[in-house]
Amino acid sequence: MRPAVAVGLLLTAGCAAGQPGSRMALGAAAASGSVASAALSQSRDLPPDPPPASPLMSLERNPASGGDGPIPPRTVHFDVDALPVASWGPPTKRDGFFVRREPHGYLLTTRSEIFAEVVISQPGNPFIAFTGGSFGAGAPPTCAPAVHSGATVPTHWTGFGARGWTDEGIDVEMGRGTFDLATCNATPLDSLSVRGKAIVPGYVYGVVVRKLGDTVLAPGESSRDELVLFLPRGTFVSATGDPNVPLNAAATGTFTRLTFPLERGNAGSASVTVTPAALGLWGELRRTGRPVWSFQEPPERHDDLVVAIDVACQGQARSGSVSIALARRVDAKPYAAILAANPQR
Amino acid sequence: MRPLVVTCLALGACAAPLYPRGQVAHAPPPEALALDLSHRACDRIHADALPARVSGDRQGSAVALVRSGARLLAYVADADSRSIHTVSVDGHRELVRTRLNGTPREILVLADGRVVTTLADRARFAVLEPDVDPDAPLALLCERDAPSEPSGLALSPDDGKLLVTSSWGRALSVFDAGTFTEQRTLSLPRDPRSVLVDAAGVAFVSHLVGAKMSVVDLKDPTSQPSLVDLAVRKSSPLASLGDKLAMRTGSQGYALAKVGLPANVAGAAGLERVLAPMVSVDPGDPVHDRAMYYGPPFDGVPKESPIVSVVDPAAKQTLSKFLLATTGGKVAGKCLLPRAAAVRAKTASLLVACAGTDALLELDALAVDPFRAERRRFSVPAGPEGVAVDDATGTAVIFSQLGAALTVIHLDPIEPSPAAEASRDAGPVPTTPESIALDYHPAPALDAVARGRALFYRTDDARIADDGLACASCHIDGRDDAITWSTLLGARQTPMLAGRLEGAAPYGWEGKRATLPAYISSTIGNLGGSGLTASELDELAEYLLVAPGPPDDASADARLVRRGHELFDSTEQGCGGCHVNGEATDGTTHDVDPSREAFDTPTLRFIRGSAPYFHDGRYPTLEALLSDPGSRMGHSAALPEADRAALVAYLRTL
Repeated sequence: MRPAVAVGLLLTAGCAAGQPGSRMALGAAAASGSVASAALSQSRDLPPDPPPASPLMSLERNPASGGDGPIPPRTVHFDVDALPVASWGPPTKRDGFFVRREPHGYLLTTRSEIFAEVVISQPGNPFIAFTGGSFGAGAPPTCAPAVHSGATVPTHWTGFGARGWTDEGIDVEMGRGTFDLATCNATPLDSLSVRGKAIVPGYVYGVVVRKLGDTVLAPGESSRDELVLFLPRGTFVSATGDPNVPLNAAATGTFTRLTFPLERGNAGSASVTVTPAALGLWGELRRTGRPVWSFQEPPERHDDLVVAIDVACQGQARSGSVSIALARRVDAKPYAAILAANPQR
Repeated sequence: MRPLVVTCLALGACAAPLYPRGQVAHAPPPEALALDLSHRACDRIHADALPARVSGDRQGSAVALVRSGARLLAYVADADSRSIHTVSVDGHRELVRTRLNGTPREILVLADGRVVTTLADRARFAVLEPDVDPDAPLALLCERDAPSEPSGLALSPDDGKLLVTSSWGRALSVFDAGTFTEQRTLSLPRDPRSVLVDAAGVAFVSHLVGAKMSVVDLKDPTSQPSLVDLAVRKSSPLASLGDKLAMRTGSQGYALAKVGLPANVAGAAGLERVLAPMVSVDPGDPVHDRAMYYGPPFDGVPKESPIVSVVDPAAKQTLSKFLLATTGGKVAGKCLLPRAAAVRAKTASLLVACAGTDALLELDALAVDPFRAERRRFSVPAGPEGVAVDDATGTAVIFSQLGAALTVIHLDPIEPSPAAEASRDAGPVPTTPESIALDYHPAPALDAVARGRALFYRTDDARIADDGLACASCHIDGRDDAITWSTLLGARQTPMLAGRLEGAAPYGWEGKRATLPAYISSTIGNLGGSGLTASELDELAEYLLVAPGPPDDASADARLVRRGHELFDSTEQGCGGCHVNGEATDGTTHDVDPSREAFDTPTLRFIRGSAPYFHDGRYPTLEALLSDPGSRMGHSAALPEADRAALVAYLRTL
């Protein structure tokens, strides 16, 4: 058996998912211009020329806040059906994870080397953690045999391999199972693995996951799918989805995971703000294949770069787009790689 | 009798027009204007080919593009000067102005080159024929009746049917586009505005209020309208769960456009989307008083936020179901007063003309909410009301009502140099927009009113509101948004202003302000505005006092109305004791809601079009108001049903 590799450390003082972001000015490229005072010499029975209209004003600067508008977004449109499709199947011995108490927190270890979002659905108090760094929300399991003997709760995990990460793809792994509250060990029931395909090379990857179990299908649907996207950690994440279970739609920690149901007649969207620090974390994870314990979100507000995702299922067409917009007059150097990565500038 | 408006203004377009009727001597009207043209045939005068519409455009706007030989021309429906301006787009000059016998709202070019324009103040539309010489005025061929306040225009894909929406008349009328005979008229919810027809022959109609879209299948002559709900929720990590679960309403549904999906997506061939720019509104829960005025606190999504609702015409449902926060901070410069839209298919660009910010926004038409996918924006003169685009050349024209100008923008960019491309700010470089001043000369006496009108439509002015809203955000066209807001003092519905303020003092639901400027000042304070100067408040008040209300609508059963009038003035009912003659008031407050303080008697002028009713909007209809046995206003609940119907009929005439 391949030894388990600890790639995730969870500290109780870890960052909560979805920290509030900060102000970003809206706007866009503006055009200044001139006013032509039109001569009406050809008009019939008309009085002399009126005075010219007011001069055109540049909208480069936000008129109220003085802030700057974003440059035009760089948008890539993609066909969802061109992405790989994964189906659930029986688990392998590499699936699952366990949690161990540490003096200053907890260590969550996946059995395969993945950067993963792990959800332990404790009744009334779900616990969400990310391996690859110190990110978690909710109350971690106590791992107390005396209290929880034999008690299990549902769990699931979603992530991608620490190795095999290229500009073109990542190895996506997902699993579902039960978590033993006494031993703090997750037993997989179903799992899937698939090579995720890049939508924005090196930065946004996607797979289509055929949903597990019975689902109510819309007329004309042969299956019920979900689009799952992986991208750098967002500091301000808004996504469509049931407000009662927001984590079904999006989660952010070491990275951001977005899930859009591909239901005919519906659409989904997300807006993810990415900081230079988050891009640095993303790059270090890829370069080293190891957890980054030193990550710290800068205290000042950074919402200069917004990644916007749209997915729409209309008729037989399932299409999507990823737009990346950067505020004007921001130092672009920290963002140069992600801006250059978009294949459709 | 209704007091006459002292300064005659025509309210036709979205930015209520300024029309100095005393100025018409400058341009004597053609003889046709003196005739009743409703029975005259609309046949063409000339056999020559007329200027042809561009891009096969079958949807009306305040501006239309035609090609006359090599020349690109624009026809502008100018509500202020009650004219159609013919403008040479390439020559950057106005060629001629054609006077009309009413206030034009939209203009549409038929397949044979004839021109149709809605006359919003006359319950008619006019058919005109351009001269082969573009320097000559258009000839007025005929006029046809339509329900009150005709607004939007569209043609069916085969050019056989002409569709006309009537805003105050709440109707969609279908005419034969050859003979202009009426085929059918369908009742719609309040304030229908823009209309278009998709490739399958289904008509879609926007509504100024209510976050809904009407749908009518034109292929089935017996089909009745259905509704598409455009209400959305918001998503923000800062929002409370209760606010996230709340369904928002909407307003500012002036415009529609449609776009085809790109053929390179599997299964997308032939699919279209209908795009409805509007403003999504969260007025808060009217059942619970808020700790602030007008809606919930800011949590990443403002209480009024622009959205382009994207509708799948085949499924007749919207794809846009959420408003997303993109930042935790407030943002200015948003399109809070969208007024017109057009699509350039070649680049899948949605062009939206935005009053307030006075800009043309170029958006990604394929986004789920194109307002979140802004490509470029261009500044234009004040009050853009119409936009048209020549798909082939990328030439867009924008008509600005307040600025009395037509702006020409060439959308195809000049490719940046390699050096510029290397720099971070490099992007497509648009050519310089140029504005052409139109022939319009308001009387100097209207200067203050014009300034008041400009203030009314101003967004992002911290003196007026702390969240960028304009007066026109809630008082749409000077009227109302049909919304009941949660406030510090309880639920309050937005009152209609236009045509209702003369002689209506004191002002405010509680009647605490003796003058209109004082009341405007207090409302601005409630909105978080830092305040306008006294002269600006006077100008705003002056504009509101002369801005006419909706057009008169004489269609009523005279016998029923007479009976309703008798009941209204009877001592048993006592309506007329407070609502003097229906339209005036007793100028005092009354205890009509035991849970609140006394309320000022409001005027009932134009009450038929200003639902919901009562200060807290508790009654969706006049019938519901008059049937409430718990009401402290009169005793109408005890009346026989026929008498209540008569009372309603009378109220509808006010």
